[in-house]
Amino acid sequence: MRVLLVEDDAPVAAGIEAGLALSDFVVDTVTTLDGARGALAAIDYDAAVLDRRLPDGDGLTLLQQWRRAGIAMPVLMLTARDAVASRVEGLQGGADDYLVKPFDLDELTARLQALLRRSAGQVDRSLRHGHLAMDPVARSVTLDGAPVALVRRELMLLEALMRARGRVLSADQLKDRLYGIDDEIESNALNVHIYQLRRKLGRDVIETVRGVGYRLGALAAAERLHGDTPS
Amino acid sequence: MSLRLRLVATLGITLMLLWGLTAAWSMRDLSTQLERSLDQRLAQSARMVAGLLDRVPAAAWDEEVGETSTIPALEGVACRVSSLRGQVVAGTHPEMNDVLAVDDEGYSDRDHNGQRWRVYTLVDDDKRITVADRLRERASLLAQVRRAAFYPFLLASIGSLIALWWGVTRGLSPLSRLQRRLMSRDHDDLSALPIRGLPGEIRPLIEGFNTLLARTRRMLELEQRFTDDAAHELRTPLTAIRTHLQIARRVDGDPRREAMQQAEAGVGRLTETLDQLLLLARMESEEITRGSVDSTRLGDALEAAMVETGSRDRCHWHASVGRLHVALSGELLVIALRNLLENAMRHGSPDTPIEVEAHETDGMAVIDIANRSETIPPDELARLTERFHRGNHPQGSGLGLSIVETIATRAGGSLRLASDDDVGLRVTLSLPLA
Repeated sequence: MRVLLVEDDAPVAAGIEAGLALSDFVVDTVTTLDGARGALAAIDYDAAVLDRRLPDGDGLTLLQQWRRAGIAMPVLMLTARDAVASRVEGLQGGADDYLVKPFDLDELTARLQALLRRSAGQVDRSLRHGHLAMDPVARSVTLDGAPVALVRRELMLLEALMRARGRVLSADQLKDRLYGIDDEIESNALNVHIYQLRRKLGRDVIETVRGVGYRLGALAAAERLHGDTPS
Repeated sequence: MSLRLRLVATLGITLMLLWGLTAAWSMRDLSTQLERSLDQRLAQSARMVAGLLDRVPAAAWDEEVGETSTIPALEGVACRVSSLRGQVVAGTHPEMNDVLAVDDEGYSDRDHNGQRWRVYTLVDDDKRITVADRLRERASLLAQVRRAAFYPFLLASIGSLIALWWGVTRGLSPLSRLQRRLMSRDHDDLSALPIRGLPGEIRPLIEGFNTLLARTRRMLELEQRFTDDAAHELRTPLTAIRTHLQIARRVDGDPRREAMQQAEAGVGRLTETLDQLLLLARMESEEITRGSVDSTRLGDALEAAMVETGSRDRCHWHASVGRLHVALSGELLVIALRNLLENAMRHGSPDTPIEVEAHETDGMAVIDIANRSETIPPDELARLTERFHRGNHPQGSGLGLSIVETIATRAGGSLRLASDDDVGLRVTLSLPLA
């Protein structure tokens, strides 16, 4: 999951970035409102963590601009002001959630994941596709109830595809979910991860749509179910 | 005591007193005038009788002599005509000899049966005419006149008291309206009171009040901003510390060491901000009086400040700087210089010199500290002494220049900032000489 972090204080930003990376979030950090506008124009983020006091203005004004422009991306606001009035102001300004500094890293992660879940229309915390289930918080995957061991990027790739719920994602979109702006990407890295996922979860788990991209194989789990159950 | 009651009481009592005095005066005047005119009428009636008697033929007069003719009496009025010898010719009340038997001409008061009469006797040729008025009739006439005059007076006094009450109430109604408006306000409502429609006497008062309200509003805003800023400055390093500590718990090796270092840096930053904040609070509450008896050699303070900031190698200064004595305690002077040097170190381009210069002008020690860096635009320059304003530099608490400015103004000096192409920032600190 790719998250935009708008925070001008370098140590705080580094902390949040490192903390979210532990939960397999890909974080891009910008320090100004202008930087945030630029980043959002280039990349389709799943969520944003927005500080209010920034060198070139209030994060809330940017959020209001986004909401007016119809950008529905979940936004979690950070602020040092704990007055109820300023929280209400933030929530009414379009924020989906609000955290007061200093916050607990686990709480930030949990709230971000809750925001992502809600924006995907999920009710409980696990993602399901046929007999394939994923817990994005615990970072675990089960197939027919049996745990499957996946490495970090494979998990991130599967999560992106599962959250897309059958929509086709282009190779670039998938790379956006897996790598930050500063990460070096080898040219065939994505193919390697797709190959590994198919090997571990079955050939049809990822369907290639020629010239467009990839999506979750609609019949993957069902076929496997027929194959395993004696008639 | 309410203003209305006081006004009504003062004016009412004065009015009643004046009315009463006037009334007493006119009553006294009235009774003397009445006495006099009744006396005149008495005398006139005697002369009228004399005139009538003159028209009677002397023969008739002679015939009558020897016998008394009695005229039927009128209540309260008596009359007698007698010869000079004392022979009564005609008259009323023959039994009232004690009142009517008067020899001398003129007015007199006499008693009969316990009642007092006013008597006038006229001697005309050979006859004596005596007329008398009973005083009781006069008294009741006077009382009637007095009663007739008293009721309008009473009515006028009551009327004027009512008019007074009404007028005062009406006159004070802007005050009552103002009072109601003030009472119905929210106690934390600091908006200005409307001036329109207020009488000229209250207007300056309300204008003063509005000025005070505006000042309070500004102060509250500043305080609110300061609280927000302080919260931000204290919570941001706290956030960094907490986040990095939580990361350190979950990772190992180099990332862990790095997280711990970040957390420690955060603690350092928090400590610095807290120290500066406490220093600023102390500066603002402490008495730094103008013309203080303290005297500190500038050279000593500069030396101490350079050692504390480790800026000795970058500072260029003249030995002449040391001779000036500044009227400020050593501790405060060092704090001020230390903050300025720290600022110059932090914001000057690395390895460029910091120029320190001092001279004496108009009884002030003028200390210039200049560093080399990019030119700062004027609007940015103006904001540098604002609390928690850090410019574009993330380091520092943003309180240093505020602290120096507080020290300078409290000591009767000043702090000026300038920036041009040659220097990055030139800070000029003026302090009174010892």
